[in-house]
Amino acid sequence: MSFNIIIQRNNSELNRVVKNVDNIITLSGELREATSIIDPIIKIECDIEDIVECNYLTIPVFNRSYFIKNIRSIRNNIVEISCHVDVLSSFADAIKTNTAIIKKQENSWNLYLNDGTFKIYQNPEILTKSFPSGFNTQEFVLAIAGS
Amino acid sequence: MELKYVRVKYYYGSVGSPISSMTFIANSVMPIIIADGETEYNSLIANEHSFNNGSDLALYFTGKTGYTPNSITMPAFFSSEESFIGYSTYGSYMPLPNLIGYPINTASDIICLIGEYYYKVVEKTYSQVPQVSPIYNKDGSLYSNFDIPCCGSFNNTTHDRAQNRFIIIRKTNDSIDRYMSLRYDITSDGGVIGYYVTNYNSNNALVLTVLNSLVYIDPIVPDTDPYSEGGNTDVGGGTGTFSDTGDNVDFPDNPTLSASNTSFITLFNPTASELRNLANYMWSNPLFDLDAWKKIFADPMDAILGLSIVPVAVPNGGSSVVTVGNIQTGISMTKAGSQFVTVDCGSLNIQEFWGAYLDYDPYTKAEIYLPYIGTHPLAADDIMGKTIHVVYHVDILSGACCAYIKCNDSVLYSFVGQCSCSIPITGNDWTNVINGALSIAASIGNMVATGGMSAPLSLGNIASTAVNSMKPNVEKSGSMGGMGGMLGIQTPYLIITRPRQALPQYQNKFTGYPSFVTMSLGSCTGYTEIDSIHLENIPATQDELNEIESLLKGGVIF
Repeated sequence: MSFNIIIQRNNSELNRVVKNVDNIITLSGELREATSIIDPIIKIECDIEDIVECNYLTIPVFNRSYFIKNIRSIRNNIVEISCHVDVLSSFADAIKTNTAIIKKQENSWNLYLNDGTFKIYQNPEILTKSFPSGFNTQEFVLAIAGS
Repeated sequence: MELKYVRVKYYYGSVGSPISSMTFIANSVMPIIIADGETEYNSLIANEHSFNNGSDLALYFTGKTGYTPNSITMPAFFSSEESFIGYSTYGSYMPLPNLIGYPINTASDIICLIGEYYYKVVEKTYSQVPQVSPIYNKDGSLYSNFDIPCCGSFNNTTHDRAQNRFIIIRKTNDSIDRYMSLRYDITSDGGVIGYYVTNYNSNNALVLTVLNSLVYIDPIVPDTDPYSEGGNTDVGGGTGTFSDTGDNVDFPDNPTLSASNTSFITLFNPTASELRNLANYMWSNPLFDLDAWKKIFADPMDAILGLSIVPVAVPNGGSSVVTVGNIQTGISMTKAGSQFVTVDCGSLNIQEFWGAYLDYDPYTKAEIYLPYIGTHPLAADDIMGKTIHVVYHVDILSGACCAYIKCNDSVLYSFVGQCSCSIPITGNDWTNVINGALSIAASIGNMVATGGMSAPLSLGNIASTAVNSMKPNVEKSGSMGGMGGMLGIQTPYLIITRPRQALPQYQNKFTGYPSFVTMSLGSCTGYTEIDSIHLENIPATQDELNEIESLLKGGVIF
């Protein structure tokens, strides 16, 4: 079957849902050997120098994007690429339709929740606050029997 | 008579080991049909019928010809060991095991257990109108009056208990054929038996009214071992109102009665020169009539009840000539207008520093120094974000003072102290002053550091914020009463111990901040860790779904 592979370079964090990738090479051909859609190992015909700095690829037929785990030079112009599916990027749209209870968030948080996120130094700050007034006079009181 | 029935389930026998069967012993006068499942046993015909322990029995009152509705009897059910189904108590029902060791040969009430309800018999002479009523339900509440369907008999000549199987019941003032004399006993196997001891020669007897109105009684189900049947949990809860209103607790009013109201004592607010004038009068004035004085007091100084210094402005009660006993001294002084004085120390607005959990216990600690009282801890939770108002009420006669601390609308703390300093005017006074000073010094020497939480040997996974709560609590003052307080600070103040946060730049981008809200992942931006999710509508394999959930819980960036 006709098979396209887009070899790319991922510039984003591994755990970013939608990746910022640069397309390097798009290859077309036939898939001649059995391969997994989750951990595909694909042999391609290309100059290894063209893809040595690539770390990502997309296989449209599989509807998935992959991290390149390993590149092996088999022989002249034959390169074997081992990949693992990037589940976040491959299913980003479907993931975003889900609802979850969020444990930690960069922009939406409640700091009254105590989950041990914050660290403190061992030397606390001591502050005194005086009330506006107090006892400011002294007077005698004499108690005498009778009226 | 309208056909009614009572349905009961019997579990009885010796404690802890129910008997295997229960035998009904027929009586020719009993027009009762007992049904066990599909079989009916006419009590007029059958002699003995065995029913398995735990049987559901329906007792039908047929209203047989010759018996009026008020004179129906029914059998007492006995086991093969002749155990009575009812048991005696002393005033109320008791669970079965508690009756072991009950005093014998003692008059007591007989309680009959029919189904779930307990019925009490009240002793009456047979010529009187019997009054019988149930007393308690199983939950201890009083059940309504009810006739007891129970009977038995006793041979009052031979006192043969073996024949004591039936009590024939008549209602109202009908005469009875036989009357019963029972006694308390315990079976050889520790089973429960309840009897009532009477003088069998007298006409007094236990008379149980007949059942003339039956109601359905739910079968009693004995307690079972919850572990053998898988526990006793149930659903429930969540029915709180989620709303509540409180009442504001304001500063109290000063007492309305004072010593000055009695005329047995007068409080003056003298100046120093007025005191000197009085002293001159008492000790050196040649016009002082000592003989007149001795008619009232043995010692002139007995009229001077006390002299003290108070740290408040004494209310002006007008000028008055000082009368010592009944002797006019001619010395004018200002009287105290009131025994009680209020000192308002004002308010402080305590604001959150972070707007985070660090502003509260146990991370932020608070204490308050109160003049004439000392330093006391306050809960940071009580004062944070609130207006703190301190008011003293002072009794200028005794020197007692009470400081009230109001947090927003309610007084949450009150502490008492001593704010006057006695000036010795007699030898005894001087001794008391010295002893008071010594006791104050001793209390200061007892200042201790009280420990916080025990610190673990290895912090390991202990959050650093928890460490602060492990710091020891050190008292910052002892007793501050009397002259000690007068030597101390005269204005209250708060001591707030606040942690210093170690917050790296962009921590929220790298680790996120605590959230715990329900959100659509599509609306999340930036770093996100989820607590829980049910993934759906994702066309991924099982391993991929597991990996998605694992990554989401570990933290992703949207």
